[in-house]
Amino acid sequence: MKGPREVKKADIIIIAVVIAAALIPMISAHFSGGALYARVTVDGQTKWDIDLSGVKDSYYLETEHFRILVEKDAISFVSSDCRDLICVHTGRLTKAGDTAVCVPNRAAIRVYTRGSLPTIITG
Amino acid sequence: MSKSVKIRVAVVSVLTAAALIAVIIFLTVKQKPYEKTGYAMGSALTVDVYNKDEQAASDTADKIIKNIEYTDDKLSATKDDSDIGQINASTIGTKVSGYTVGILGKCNILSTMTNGAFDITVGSLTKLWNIDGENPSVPSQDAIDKALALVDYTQIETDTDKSLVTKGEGQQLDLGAVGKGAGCDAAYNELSTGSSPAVVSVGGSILLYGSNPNSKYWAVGIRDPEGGENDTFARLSLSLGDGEHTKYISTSGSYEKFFVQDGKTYHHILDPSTGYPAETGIRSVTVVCSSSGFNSDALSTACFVMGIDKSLPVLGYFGAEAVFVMEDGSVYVTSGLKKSFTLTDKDYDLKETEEPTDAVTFAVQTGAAA
Repeated sequence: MKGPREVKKADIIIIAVVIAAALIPMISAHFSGGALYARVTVDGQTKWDIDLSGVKDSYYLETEHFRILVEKDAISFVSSDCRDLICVHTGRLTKAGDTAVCVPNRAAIRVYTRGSLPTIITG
Repeated sequence: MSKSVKIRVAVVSVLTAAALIAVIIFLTVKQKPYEKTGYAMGSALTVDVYNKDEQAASDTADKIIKNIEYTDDKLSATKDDSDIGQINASTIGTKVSGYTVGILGKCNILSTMTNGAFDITVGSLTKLWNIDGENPSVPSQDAIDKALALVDYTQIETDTDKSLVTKGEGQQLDLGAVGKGAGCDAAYNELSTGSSPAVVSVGGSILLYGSNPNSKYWAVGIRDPEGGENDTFARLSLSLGDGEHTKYISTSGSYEKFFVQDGKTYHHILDPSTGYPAETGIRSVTVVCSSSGFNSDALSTACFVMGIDKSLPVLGYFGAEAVFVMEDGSVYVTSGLKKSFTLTDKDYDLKETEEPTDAVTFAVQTGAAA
């Protein structure tokens, strides 16, 4: 019967590689604070959650009342049947904390980064 | 050291380093709030509750939104069945909720302390100017004079026991200057029963409750009067704790609603003494206080109307701080807020503010109870 095998350099390398393989995705996810996401709510309920940084080709999201353009790292109301069009005039949202609101249609877009609270704005 | 010991040391080192990294990641993971959006007072509400129990956070957020909607249902001047709508429609005393009677009592205190710069009987003037309307224009002087004659907060009488409110003949109440702040107070009433930190925004009036789980401070951006909805010119880093659980922040600015006629800009913050948009050289006022959203909201409007010099002692009396942005781009910050204030837009010029008049002296001068 063989006794316990001595740990060799190759074993250490394998252990280090396994640990690194486990930790790298965690570290990457933890420190990738720059990735942008957007949440679109209607009547207070989440309608769409979007990974803006992962967008390759621009596309539209629509309801019967408004149309939203989703681009890489940007999102915007492009049309709405509301009277004041404040939501459309808000323009493109491109950084965490940016919001656009269409009060008549009770719709809102908030842009955020994973794990972080956007700076809230008064005024 | 033998080869096998070296190898063991290496193995232990690798495992220790891995464990340390995992612990650091665990400790520094930011807590994400539960978010909910609602609508009231013609604005969006955002509620962020920090509670790892998602169901509890969701329940809290729902109750907060209901509380704010209740406030809107009572105080809105545009809803016929609200308390204020019924008072405006009535020619005699109106029985309303105890909540509304309480709010009107607070309005009276604010009006007295600001010598009428804050006055909820401006409703007739607000309707006349109709800046929210499709094609607003400058009313005739005769119409302004007639509406101005109805502005007098001292004619509002409240009977707390009977929940009865009477007003002067023809007077119209407009609580637009306090509704969003009162909404923040309604949110606080729900939060004070629990311990979850939260951030509530009612159309830009903000309640910060509890300590930020992710930072020493809550970061609040102040909107750039010359920019878009999401542009800020400064940041407030506000900390809570050590017995202080709340901060309320409200901003009044001439950029919010306005129209241009014959090259002149007319905004929505009306001076109850002239009947015209207030002209004090101010572009926006942001008020921060710990006492209530009602105070921060009402004071932001009152300070806009009063101008800086008259505002400072009033702010001191209410234990409030402020940031004034002037039309020429200069910025004044009251002393208690300077450490929290960071100018982030170089187009603005931060100036020194004179220390406010002693608050007690002001209270004695105005006959208010200190």
